Amino acid sequence: MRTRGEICVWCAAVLLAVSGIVRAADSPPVKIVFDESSQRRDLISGSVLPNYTQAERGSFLFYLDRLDKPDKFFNFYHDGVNQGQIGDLRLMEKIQPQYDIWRLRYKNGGKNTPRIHHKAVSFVPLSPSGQPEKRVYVLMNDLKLIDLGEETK
Amino acid sequence: MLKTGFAAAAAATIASPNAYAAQFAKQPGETKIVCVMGDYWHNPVWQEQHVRGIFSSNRDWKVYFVLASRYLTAELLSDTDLLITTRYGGGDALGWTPEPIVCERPRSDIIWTDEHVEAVCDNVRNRGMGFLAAHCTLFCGREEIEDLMGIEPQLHQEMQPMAYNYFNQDHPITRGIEPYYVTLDDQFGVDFKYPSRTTILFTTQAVHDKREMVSGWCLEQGNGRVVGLLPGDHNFAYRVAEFQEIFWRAAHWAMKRDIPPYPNAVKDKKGFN
Repeated sequence: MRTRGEICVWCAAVLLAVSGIVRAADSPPVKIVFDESSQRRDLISGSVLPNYTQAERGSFLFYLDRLDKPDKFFNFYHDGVNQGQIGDLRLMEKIQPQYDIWRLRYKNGGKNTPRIHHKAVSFVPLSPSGQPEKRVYVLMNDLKLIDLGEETK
Repeated sequence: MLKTGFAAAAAATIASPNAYAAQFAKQPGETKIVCVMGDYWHNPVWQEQHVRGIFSSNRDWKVYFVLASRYLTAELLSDTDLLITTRYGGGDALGWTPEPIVCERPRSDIIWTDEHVEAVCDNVRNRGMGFLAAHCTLFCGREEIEDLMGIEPQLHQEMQPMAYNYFNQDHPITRGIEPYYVTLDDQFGVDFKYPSRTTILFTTQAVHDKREMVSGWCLEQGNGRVVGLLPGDHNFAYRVAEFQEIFWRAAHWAMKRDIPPYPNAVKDKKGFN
């Protein structure tokens, strides 16, 4: 039989999970664009992915070398290796794929075009009706745009 | 009358930047060049030495270096023939002081304020001041200056040797310049906002990356002329006689002057270039 304390912990966990779902549902999706030359192949399952155009905000994870070691940040080169947070960004736009160079536009108005060191990215895609689907893993170079736009509707 | 030494230093501490700049009004027959060059990443010492060296044969050229960005004023630029900058947006590397010995530096100035942007754009577009926007100026962080330069900036990657492999033989700034090589530099890049009226002067290839980018260009903006020269993270770029000659010619072209032969060409081949 569960104690009162355990029940409280469970309730708190459920509330947190629900509030997270509500928050995610409240946040507008992130626009993504696959590169035309991409085969859109999931790195884990090998299956060809639909041409998703939206992903769940807050679901992006980056991979430097191993797919079992996700990072919430990505490394980029600017007079040394720096860490970028996708939450600080308004837009990531691939401009020189042969050099892994992306244009970053920050929410604070700053911009930069560094080489991104992380090679892969995963996210929760949204179906055309806006429903979250199974997390997918692709090479950064499979995408050409991650448009975070504004966070609030 | 021009104040010098401690008198000027003392005046700087009490006069407003515009009032202080009034002391440097252009004299008859003078060519007035204002430079704002150098920061934490880009050594101001060699930049000033090289620029003064490149222009040293022109006795009627007065080259002023602005050591505190608040003194880059509309008043100072109002009769300037050529502005040369290598400054990305942000603070001066060191707070300026006239004191010869300091325990603490005063707070440093910020460059590319609204006042800087307005004065530079107005003097180039309306009065016809030349603007030589060198190296990191492209990351000024101000759309108006990017627009004046006619570019969208691209960041450099790792430092590496640089091959200067194409020179526009139809433009007076680069005609006759042949390919050369620099030991170490970074390679900024640009996308042009006005490609139909922008002239590519030269390109570089980053030797390790094999990345090919435009590194020099020019365009007319209103009544003025703008030249962008991206080399120069290190002094190696300026030690090369070919680049000195490009710089010399670019200064003349931006001021709509005839371009005399560069008299100071020094073939320094001691392994630095």
